[in-house]
Amino acid sequence: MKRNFILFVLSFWLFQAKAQELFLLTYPASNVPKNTMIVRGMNSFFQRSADNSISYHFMPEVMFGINKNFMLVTNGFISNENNKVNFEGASVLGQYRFYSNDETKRHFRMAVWSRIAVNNADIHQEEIELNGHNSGLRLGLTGTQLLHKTALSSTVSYQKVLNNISNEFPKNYSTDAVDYTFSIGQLVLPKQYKNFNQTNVNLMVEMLGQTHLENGESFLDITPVLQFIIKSKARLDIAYRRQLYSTMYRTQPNGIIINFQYNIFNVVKQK
Amino acid sequence: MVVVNTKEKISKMKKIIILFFSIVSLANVNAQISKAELIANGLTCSMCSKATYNQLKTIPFLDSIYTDVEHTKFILYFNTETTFDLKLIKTKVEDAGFSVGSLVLFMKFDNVAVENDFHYNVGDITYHFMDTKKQTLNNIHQVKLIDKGFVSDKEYKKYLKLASKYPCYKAGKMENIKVLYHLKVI
Repeated sequence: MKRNFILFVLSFWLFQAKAQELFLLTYPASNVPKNTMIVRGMNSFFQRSADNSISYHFMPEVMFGINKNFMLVTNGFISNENNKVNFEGASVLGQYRFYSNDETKRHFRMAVWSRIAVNNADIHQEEIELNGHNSGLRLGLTGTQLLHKTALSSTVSYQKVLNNISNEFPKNYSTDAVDYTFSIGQLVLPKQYKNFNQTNVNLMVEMLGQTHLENGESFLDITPVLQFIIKSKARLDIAYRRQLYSTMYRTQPNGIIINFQYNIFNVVKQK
Repeated sequence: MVVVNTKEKISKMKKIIILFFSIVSLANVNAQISKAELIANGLTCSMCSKATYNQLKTIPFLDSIYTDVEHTKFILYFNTETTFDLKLIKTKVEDAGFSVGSLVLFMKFDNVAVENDFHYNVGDITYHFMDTKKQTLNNIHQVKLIDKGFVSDKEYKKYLKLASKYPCYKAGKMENIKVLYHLKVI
């Protein structure tokens, strides 16, 4: 835990420059705008430690702003395990923003969220990952600070893993975990906004850690992200997730993530 | 004959009622605001400005919107032949996930003498002037809406101190007044 904290502080100092909060692996406390839908396709190519082969996962995702304080996210999990296309499961996440303090080009927000995931994948590692691997419940708290072009976001969450549909969760693995994340990024381009059509380039770093409550095992990953915002409505992320350390058994900790998403504004026509 | 007379009376009454409502609705038509400058708070990026623009676009009484992405500013051009509801601007900015930092109205006056605590009635709307020096307004002037939700929380607290003797500022309403806004001449 002490090591995690030092790494968090280090990353804060390293990247305390200019950033944006459109993070890839975590949601900021800001929600999707009301009546706006974001359609996302996340592709991950992670290397299996056992044989260096590539494990491919595709996660189609739809996010929708119900009102200014509440958003719903639903996603599906498709993988190439056993060299065939498998539809393994789905999850639903609801996020409620309960605090917001806005100033000129600044804000501080806080949100609570919960994810419910159902999965039928083989269970092959101790890491708990409701996004694509395990069935379970997760409850989290997020705080996000925007300071002009600098954005910092942190989440703490508790997750409880359940058995996958036809694969029981191993009895010797911990079923409860606390996850903690810290995200920061940098707006590189444009130097000055002129219109909606300028391509924005953001650099981000996300740190994700997990500690199992039953045996104290933990890991910490770092993910640098290169992000392009196209015409203020589409987004392309290219990221590399790398394990910094782990005391638990993980089968595919390192890999590349490519994400594309598109915003559809004013989905339901209003009279 | 009596029946016919009653019918005629009802018809006359109807005409008077229709005329009355026509006059009232005419008074409601926006003849005084041609444009407004809105600054949205809590955002920097162009995607956030785009989300705000798309929310504002659904406001029926706006003809067009110009966006200054760098300063998160939106110039709103009003349709002067329809009625308007300024609270809808606030609602739409909040629906995008942000807040109104300031809303400056370009308002037309015809020799109106204003000063602190002056109430100016236009149709159903009462404009209550605050933090304003004594002056006569003629033609188009910039006035800032200073009600809660139209300025930052910090600024609202500042006006709340100034307005300690005006309970209507804190309440946001006043007895017998349908629509109330608090303005400051800038």
